Amino acid sequence: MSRALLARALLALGVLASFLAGPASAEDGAPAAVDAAAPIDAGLAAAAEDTRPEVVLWHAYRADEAAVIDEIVADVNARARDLRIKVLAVPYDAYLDKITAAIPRGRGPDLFIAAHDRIGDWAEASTIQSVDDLVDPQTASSFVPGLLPAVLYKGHVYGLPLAFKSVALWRNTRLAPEAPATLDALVEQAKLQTKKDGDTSSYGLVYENRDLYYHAPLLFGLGGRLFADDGRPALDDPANVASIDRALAIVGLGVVPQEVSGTLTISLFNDDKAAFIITGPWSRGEIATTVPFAVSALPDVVDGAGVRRPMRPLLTVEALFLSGRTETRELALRVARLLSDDERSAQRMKRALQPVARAATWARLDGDGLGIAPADAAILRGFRAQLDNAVSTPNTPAMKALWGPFNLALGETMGQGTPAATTLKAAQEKLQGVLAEVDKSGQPAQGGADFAVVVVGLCVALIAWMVGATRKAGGARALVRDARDNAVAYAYVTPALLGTGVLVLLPFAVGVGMGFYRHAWGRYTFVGLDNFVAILTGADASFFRTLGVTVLWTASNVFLHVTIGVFLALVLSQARLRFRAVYRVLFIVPWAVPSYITALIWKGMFHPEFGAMNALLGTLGFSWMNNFWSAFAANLITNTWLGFPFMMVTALGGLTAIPKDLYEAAALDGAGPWKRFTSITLPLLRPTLAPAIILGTVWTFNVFNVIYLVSGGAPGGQTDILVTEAFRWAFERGQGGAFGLAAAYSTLIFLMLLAYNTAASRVTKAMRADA
Amino acid sequence: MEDALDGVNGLTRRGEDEKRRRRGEHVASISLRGIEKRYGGVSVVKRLDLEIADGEFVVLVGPSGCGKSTTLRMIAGLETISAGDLLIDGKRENEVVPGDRDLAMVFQSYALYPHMSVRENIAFGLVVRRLDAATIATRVDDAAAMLGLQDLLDRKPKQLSGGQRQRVAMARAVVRRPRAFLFDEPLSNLDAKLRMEVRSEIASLRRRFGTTTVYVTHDQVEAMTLADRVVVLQGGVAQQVGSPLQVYRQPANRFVATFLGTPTMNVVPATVLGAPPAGAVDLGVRPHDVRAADTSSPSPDGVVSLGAMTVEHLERLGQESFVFGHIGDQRFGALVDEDAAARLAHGATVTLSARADRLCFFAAGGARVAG
Repeated sequence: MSRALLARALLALGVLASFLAGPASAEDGAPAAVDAAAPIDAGLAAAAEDTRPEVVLWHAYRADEAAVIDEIVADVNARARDLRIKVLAVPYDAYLDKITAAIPRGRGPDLFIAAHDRIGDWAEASTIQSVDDLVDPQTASSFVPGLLPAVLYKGHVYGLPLAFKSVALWRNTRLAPEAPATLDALVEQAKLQTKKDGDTSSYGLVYENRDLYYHAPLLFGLGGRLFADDGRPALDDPANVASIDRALAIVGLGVVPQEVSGTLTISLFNDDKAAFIITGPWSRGEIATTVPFAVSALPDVVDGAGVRRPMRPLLTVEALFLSGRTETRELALRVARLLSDDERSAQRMKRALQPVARAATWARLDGDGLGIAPADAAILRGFRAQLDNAVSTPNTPAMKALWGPFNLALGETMGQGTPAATTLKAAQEKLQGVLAEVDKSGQPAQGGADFAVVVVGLCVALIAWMVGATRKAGGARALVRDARDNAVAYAYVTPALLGTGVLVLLPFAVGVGMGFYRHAWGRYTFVGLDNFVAILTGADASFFRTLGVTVLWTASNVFLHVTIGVFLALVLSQARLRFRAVYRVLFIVPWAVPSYITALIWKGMFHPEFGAMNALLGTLGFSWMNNFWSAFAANLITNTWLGFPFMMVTALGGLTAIPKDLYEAAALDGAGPWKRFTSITLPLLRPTLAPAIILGTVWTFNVFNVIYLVSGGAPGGQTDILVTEAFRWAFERGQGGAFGLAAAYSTLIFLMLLAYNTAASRVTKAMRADA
Repeated sequence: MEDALDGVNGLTRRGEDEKRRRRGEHVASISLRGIEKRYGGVSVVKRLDLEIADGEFVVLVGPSGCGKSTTLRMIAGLETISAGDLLIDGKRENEVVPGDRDLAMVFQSYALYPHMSVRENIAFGLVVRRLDAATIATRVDDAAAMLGLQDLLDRKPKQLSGGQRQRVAMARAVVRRPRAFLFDEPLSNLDAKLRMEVRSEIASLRRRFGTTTVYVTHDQVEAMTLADRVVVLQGGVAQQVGSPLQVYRQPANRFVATFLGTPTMNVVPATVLGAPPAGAVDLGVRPHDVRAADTSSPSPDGVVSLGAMTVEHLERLGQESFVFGHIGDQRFGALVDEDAAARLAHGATVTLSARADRLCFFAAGGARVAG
């Protein structure tokens, strides 16, 4: 029985075993892998000791905001006789996904605190339930005006406002003592504060002008809108175009730096290199104590027709939501009422400086001051003033899909100067396309195969294929005989086998199966090959363009990895070289550092004004991400840095295996260094390098970190490769994600790599037979 | 007798040189003048002087680590020369790169290019030198025919036996028609039978081409059978340079005497009465030159009696037999005739005698003083 056969047979057994175990662990028959919330839930249950009914509360607060929640909960738990609150702080990055995944499966919290802009998604999926009965007219009037509408969806109240957040204008009072009344005045002041001088450059105004969230004040201030009255997207509204033109004009004056991130905003402000910044209350903790600053409402802006309006930022309301699956509705509502009442509200404002939702708390701030330091009170008042001009972030599902296309348009106009009218029109079309695609996901199931059935079918097919392979070598009987003869060996490999089955084969089957479905809000609709057809026949042929970029990306990377890796290996294999061991370690370092950290470092180095690359090349101000080739080069350089050590180590191993006397024989035969390299080194390295190149190709084809973190697809998604495109379909476009489409993308990637691998392995095998 | 043997080798060589010269080919003389090789502070070859004449076959022989391979590699250009001059054809070539020295080397490991066919292996040196395809093909075919490789030309080295690989390595050297051949222990990876075959092949190649050859081995049989001259090295120093018979019959010192010859020369302390070399010396005599007899008979003229020995060990090699034992506390070996060997048993007593003209005497420092 051959070793390959044995491996396949073992794999088949493992998968079988994992299936026997599978349904038992997932009550509703849903794949266990999706069930991210389960361990947390179990942990909570195990910890429960007293018999009071429990209300589970989740939040994603940190620092002071988390501490005050803990204080409040401790206080309630100490006093309440008939209930207790179990609180869980979930890291923000995982928070929304956890809620979306856990609650529809009957797990997760009874109450949770979140921003209001997901209400539409959650309400449609019954992740949350309305709390109309909680908000009588009296309660409604207790909130600061403008907050309650944010938590309304289709005429129902879905959340209890706790606090509100929006950006406002922060100024360094040393550089800008007075708050400007208009944008023009702000720009005039900014001009005075802008000095360009390499490392010591300072700017009048710093904000993330390629992000809709920070651009929104200007957009709404000039009368722009995101949705028309009928709820359809209106990205190409002329006022929107004018707002981007205005932002571009300000950039043209040189008072705003390029490619600003949140980190850069704060660091410039802390270094006294930014007179004005636009950011929200969350930045408070990061501002250095040495910077004297004030927060005020954003200034007014005058449009082309001479109409003056205030700049209006997007408003986010943090609210308490009631889980759609809670079994303790009444208790949970009591807790919600408690947490949002005036007393607790004052506690949150005082302790965490939260701009809270209750009007009475603000009245107390103006009255007894709540014991808050005057400077902090002034900041709070700044945000309170801004609230009056804020626009509630639309809470419809379509809003989630809007960010991507709008930011792409914004980036393209800001970066490459493409007219805003053009980019916004493209964004509008793209958004409509995405919404149409996503809308299909929401259509109810119309028969078709059950998802679990398809996954099981796929697994059975895979196992059948493996067992089929055993037939060639003596059939199932041989397999059984072999298992009996080598029982101990089989026992040893069983754990690995089970692991492989659960971690590799099952997710693989789920992924492939998902490609035949539309999936939204936990519902699977069988659509056959629709996803694949949609990808391959897409009107803009974007798949094939992305495929082209991917192939170019892979080929250029592998070429550079191999060339540099082999070159360095040759240098390092010179016996005469001193400190070889040191160099070897140094060259492996890029490989040892987690790739996302490397990617972020390189991203920083490619910054147009503060990056090391431009400083080194003397091209300060050149934006790498504004042009396909330079953005591609930035990705390529980063990934080459990450990729050459592997090839170097492989080549070093291959080089040591080449007998030295071959070189001596060749030298005596009259071969010079180049001839020796081409006639001896390369041909003899080939059997070692070939598998490494195949592996490297597959890895590079699927590199996610570098593309996502360095260029982020810029400009305008042009440097995206297939795998980042699949990710965007799954997580960045539309409600619940177009998982089916993303899975189909992944299946196509898999098929391409499988074909490549098969062909390449055949070549390698021939090469080895030849050697 | 040694002169006669020398004469035969010399005659052959001179005739071949003549033939080569007539063919317009070039053979080279190689001179090593005060050659040294040091690694850090360690000298592995110490001030070696050696003149190798056109067409001469010189064997460097010695135990492991004696510097013989290093010397060969310095001639090839694979090792730098720490001091002294290397002259090829009278021209100093210390710094000339290996490829420009026009020498061909056969390695112990054969060093065949594993990814090339036999044909490509043989042709490589010619391809590198950019000879035209027709010439290359002719020369490769000639070399292959000469070494019986015609049927193996399209195989890869790993499909060949050890002996075949060795022949490919030789073909690769021959095809180049270099100024000199360098052999680095070429037979040590072969079994005894193959070794003899290839040895005779090397001898016939050498007869055919008459090319200057430097051959490194630790095997004294190869040295004795192939060489025009033998250089015995120890500790990086040439102990003796001479024809095979010279170094065998007239070893320069005790090391040379005991290194060459099987079984090893008997060396015992002795006192010589009368002159010269009077006084305490070491007496050396090869077992082949010592007769063991189980019957005592009067010694004829020119034969000295060495005393009686108890047989401890008898080696019957078919052609000849040796007895080994001790006289006093000195181990001795001696030739015994077949009839006697058949009679002798363990513990028997034999009397040993040797021809006086075969005795060697070594001074305390090891140098031969007479005999």
